[in-house]
Amino acid sequence: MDTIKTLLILIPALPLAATLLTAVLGKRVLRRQSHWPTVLAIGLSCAASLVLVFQVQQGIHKAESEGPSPQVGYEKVVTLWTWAGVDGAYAYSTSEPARGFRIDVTLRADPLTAVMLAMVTLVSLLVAVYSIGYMHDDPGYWRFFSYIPLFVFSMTMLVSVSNFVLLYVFWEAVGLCSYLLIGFWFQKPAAAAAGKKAFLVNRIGDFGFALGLFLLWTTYGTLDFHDVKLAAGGEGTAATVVHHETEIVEDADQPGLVRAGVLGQTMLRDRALYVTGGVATAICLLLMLGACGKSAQFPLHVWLPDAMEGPTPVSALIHAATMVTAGVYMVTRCLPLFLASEVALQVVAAIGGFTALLAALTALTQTDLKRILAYSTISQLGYMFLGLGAVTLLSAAGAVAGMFHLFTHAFFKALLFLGAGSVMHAMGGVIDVRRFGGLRRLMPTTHWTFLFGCLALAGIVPFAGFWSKDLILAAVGEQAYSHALDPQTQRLYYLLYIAGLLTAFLTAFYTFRAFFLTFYGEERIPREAGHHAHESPRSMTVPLAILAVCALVVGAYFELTHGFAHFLEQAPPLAMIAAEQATAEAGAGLGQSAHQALSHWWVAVISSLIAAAGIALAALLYLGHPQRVERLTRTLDAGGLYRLSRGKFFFDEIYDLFVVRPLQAVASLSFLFDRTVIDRLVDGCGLMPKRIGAALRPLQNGMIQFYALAMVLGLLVLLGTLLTM
Amino acid sequence: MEALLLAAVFLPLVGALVLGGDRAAARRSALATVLLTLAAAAVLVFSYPAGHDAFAATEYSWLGGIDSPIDVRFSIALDGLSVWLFGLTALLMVTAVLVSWEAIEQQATMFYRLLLVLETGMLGVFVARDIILFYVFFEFTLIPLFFLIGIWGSEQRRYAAIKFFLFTLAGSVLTLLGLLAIVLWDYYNPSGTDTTVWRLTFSIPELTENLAAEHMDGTLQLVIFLALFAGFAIKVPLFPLHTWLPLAHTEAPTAGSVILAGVLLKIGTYGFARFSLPMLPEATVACMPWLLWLSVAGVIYGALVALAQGDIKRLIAYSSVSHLGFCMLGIFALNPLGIQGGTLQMINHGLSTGALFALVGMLYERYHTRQIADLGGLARQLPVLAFFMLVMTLSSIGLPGLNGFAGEFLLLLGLFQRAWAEATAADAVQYVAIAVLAVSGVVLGAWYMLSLVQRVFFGPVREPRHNPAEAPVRDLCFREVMALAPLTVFVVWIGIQPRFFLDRMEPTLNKLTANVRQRADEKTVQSAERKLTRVR
Repeated sequence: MDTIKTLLILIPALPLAATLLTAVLGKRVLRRQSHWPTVLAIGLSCAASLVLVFQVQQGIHKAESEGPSPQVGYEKVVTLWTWAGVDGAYAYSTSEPARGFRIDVTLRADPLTAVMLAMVTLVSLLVAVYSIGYMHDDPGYWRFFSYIPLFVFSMTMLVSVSNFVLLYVFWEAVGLCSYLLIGFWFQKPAAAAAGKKAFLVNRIGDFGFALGLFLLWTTYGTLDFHDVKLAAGGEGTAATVVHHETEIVEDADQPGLVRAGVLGQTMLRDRALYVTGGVATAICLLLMLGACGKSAQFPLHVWLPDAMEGPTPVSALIHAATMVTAGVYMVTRCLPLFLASEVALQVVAAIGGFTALLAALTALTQTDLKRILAYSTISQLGYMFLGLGAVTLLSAAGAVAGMFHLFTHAFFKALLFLGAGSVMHAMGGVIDVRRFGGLRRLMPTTHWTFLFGCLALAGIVPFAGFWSKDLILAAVGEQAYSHALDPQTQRLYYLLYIAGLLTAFLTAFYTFRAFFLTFYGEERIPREAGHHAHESPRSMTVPLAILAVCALVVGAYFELTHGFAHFLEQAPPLAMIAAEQATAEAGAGLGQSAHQALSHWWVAVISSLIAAAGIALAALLYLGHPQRVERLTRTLDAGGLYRLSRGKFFFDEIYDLFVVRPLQAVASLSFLFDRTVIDRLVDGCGLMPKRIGAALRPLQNGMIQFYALAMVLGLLVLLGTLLTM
Repeated sequence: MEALLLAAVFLPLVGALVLGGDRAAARRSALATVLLTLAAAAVLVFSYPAGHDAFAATEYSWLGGIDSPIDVRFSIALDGLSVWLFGLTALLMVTAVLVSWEAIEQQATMFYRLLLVLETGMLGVFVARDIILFYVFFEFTLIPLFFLIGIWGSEQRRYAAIKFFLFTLAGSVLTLLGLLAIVLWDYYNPSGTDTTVWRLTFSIPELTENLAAEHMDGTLQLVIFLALFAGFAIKVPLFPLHTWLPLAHTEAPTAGSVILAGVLLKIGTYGFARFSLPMLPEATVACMPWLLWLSVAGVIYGALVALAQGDIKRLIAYSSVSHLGFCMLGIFALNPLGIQGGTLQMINHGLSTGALFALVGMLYERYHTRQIADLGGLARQLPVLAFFMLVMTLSSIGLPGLNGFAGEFLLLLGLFQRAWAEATAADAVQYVAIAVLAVSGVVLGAWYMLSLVQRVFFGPVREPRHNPAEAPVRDLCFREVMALAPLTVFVVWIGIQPRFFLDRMEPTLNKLTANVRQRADEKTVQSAERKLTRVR
């Protein structure tokens, strides 16, 4: 077994083992020590992921040193076992034998997967360590530490499987973990309701995802990402003449037949094989609906703020850093499909830009520290989709930027949530920013690390968020000023560019609003905290410090060395774009890159100024001048703007009124219909013999005269008929 | 193996005859019987070689013979369609006996006798290879259940029992007429080399073969199809013939509900797959759109009505209407993905819904209520019960990694493919609409099941006033865990490796439905080719 295969198996297998171990032994044997299997397993997983990154890096170098190859990007696929198979399932031609439906459990190693694995396991490890302190007194300690590795298992599988069905499987599996962990304190009605809401809203997204898969299957006849080599005579195809060059082709390197995967080398090499037009748009939009559910984008964003009912480490890990980014990962993975439909990419960009602005506006007036962060997560995820939507055939910059933002965001958002958790821990569970203040002396470490997170989120040089957010804005700006687009599209991207800049301003403002309210001003501690409001224990502050360092350096390091972009561009979906770009540049000559660098500088300067302005405004309003806030609030409230933002744009109410209640009414009506109409009809049929009997009963009344009369009448009728014939 | 199959089918009947003594003795010997049967069934099921059409066959003449003009046989065997249903029946019977352990106090001996007779009936239905034998076993399932509901049920038991009995009987009489019509048609249209020998055969495989060889007139097929439909659709139950089911489920004792949902409903879908599809391909294809519409109506309607329920047991009963709609959608997609997905979903539904009814029974034993409004926060009081409830709920709503997903995904994929392959635009739109509605049924399914779990198991604790004379409420005991654990094992196994189960049913299903699939695809394949070239 080679190294990469071993690593790919170990990374998810270790957390799975930890889950089983903790679930079995946690309650009786491990108890307060229940964190050990989890921390050890995730630690080893994390180490394995880092080794995998280097292995992939080496693989890329090796491939590069060997000179040009037909391979698009770098990928390595290992198959473990067959999940399901149905022979002769795909028959669309009379002349070709039907093709089998076959889902293999297949893992892949490529730069995209490696980056996600490293990020997921590293953040998970830090959050797990933090939880040792945070969950210390919880009666469900072992239960918590059996859910967390289950999530890590599902998430690592999600990013490493190489098949749409399995992607869907783990897509829902992380949703299950989210459901279980949001409802971790299930005695709280709000937590139980939030868990259900998260699951159901995600189900609506998955409804789209599933339909997208079905459409992919009927269109391409496979659900694998990668190409599959068919054994000689396998599935009855090798012996026949192959004439659907789109699906089954001769292998370019070695003799033998290959079934082209949807995102496999064959399709990437020859983009013309992708279906275009309505079908392509439908597939992409359905997949995007799934992504909207998981990544909490408009119109399915409503579940994420409620998900904050879960324990804070869960909010940091699942609802900020990892699971919610699955949608971004999925769209990045499927970029070749999205590139086949311009409309789809524009929709992705529009949803991203709109959500970013909407969530930022909502975050302005929230008072629950965790919900402010939740809305900021929605907003930042919107940025990522905006970046992905700015991808063109000639430039993968938007996707690289989106993935880079995903990467940096994971660190600083996890940091912010864990910081908020530290505050909550000290404040006796209170998280309303109106009820505490001036905590910077009481909690110095939390204060400093939180500041780092805020600076990164606001996008201040040289913190991580600055680099990645700017790349996204630059990519969108590129589109907004691109001459290759028709005016209408250009206008769309221009609007989105403005929205992005506006969001940057709002982000800086609400972030520092929360920061100032929490750590500055007069020191106020709520009653619930009692007398033991204190800085958090070492197990919590050390992860905070590590994440703070990450929030400071990961952006600058990877951007200035170009390490991230170079590595990620070797991922097959992005490498395909690079290949297209190379072809186009070879045809049109150079000169583009200089222009790119120039515009990038401008964007950086503008967005920095904007962010600084946002912080300044927050300082002006929230550092010791409460009456200014009052006045402003009153002014805005006159126009209803304040109330709109405070009420989260009333999405919950709208959905309740137009979706939930009507459906419940239909349900009650159906039940009424079932009892009063259908069942009555059935009973009516059942009573038929009785009724007929009752109707005929008077005939048999026992009176001889009546019988005689009937007999005579009958005879007369009979005779009459006979005579007339 | 032959002896083993014979033993497995008749062991429960023998057990029923020798069963006696007081309640303790009766339930002990009942348990021993079902366990022995399960052991025999397990050996049979796991040694079943894929593709075998008559595994462990026993056959001898009852009336006449091969050479005489009339040929009624006692003939039983397993094939790919019946093998997992057979195993499921034997497995669920253990659950049924274990959940009755304390719940049945009156006339326990009689209860277990009837239960065991019922088992022979059910096992027999799935292995019978002769129409008369099939019908005998079929009726054998009816009468014990009638008494089980009528004697040991709850308040409305008599009404429920009579309704169940009349409804099913009315349908099954029509089905018998339909089956006899097939036999007679075969008699007047002899096939094979020697057409001079006129022979009245009741053998199912022979009839299947003959009907595939000789073409039956389309109108006649339709009439016979409708006759068969009457019985099978009531049994499934297909919307709008479902109203007996919520009533029977709610009133039946727990064991009755487990068996009813787990096994008896499958006789309907099994009947379609065994008789209608292979024997009447033309009528099946002609009726396909109607059946698909009725099935998807059941999916949505069942889910909506379930959403409006305040009674846990009735909620799960209506969810059965919805889930069986899925099975029907798969089978009548008339392509390999749909048929195999639908057949797998029959097993899945048996496992998860059987377990859910068992769990509701366990709740009822503890709190003497089935009203959702009376209960709350039970995950804290009964963590083990809540764990099983959650697993079965997740299985029932098709969470990937558990069994429900494997079946649902395959059959929906098959349904979607049917839509894609349709010839005319109108047909394509029609089938896409059905497929999309079916997928939205999955969303509704999650809604009502998760609401149930949320209200009963999460939130603040709410229990009915406890009777101080009784023992305090305890979590599941060993016996109850044993009633659920085996089902859970299969729920996970099928979820992780459905291939193991699919592979064993695939060859038989492909063979049985080859004709009907070909007929359904005839008009569509060329159109799909056209469509593909248009798209590219």
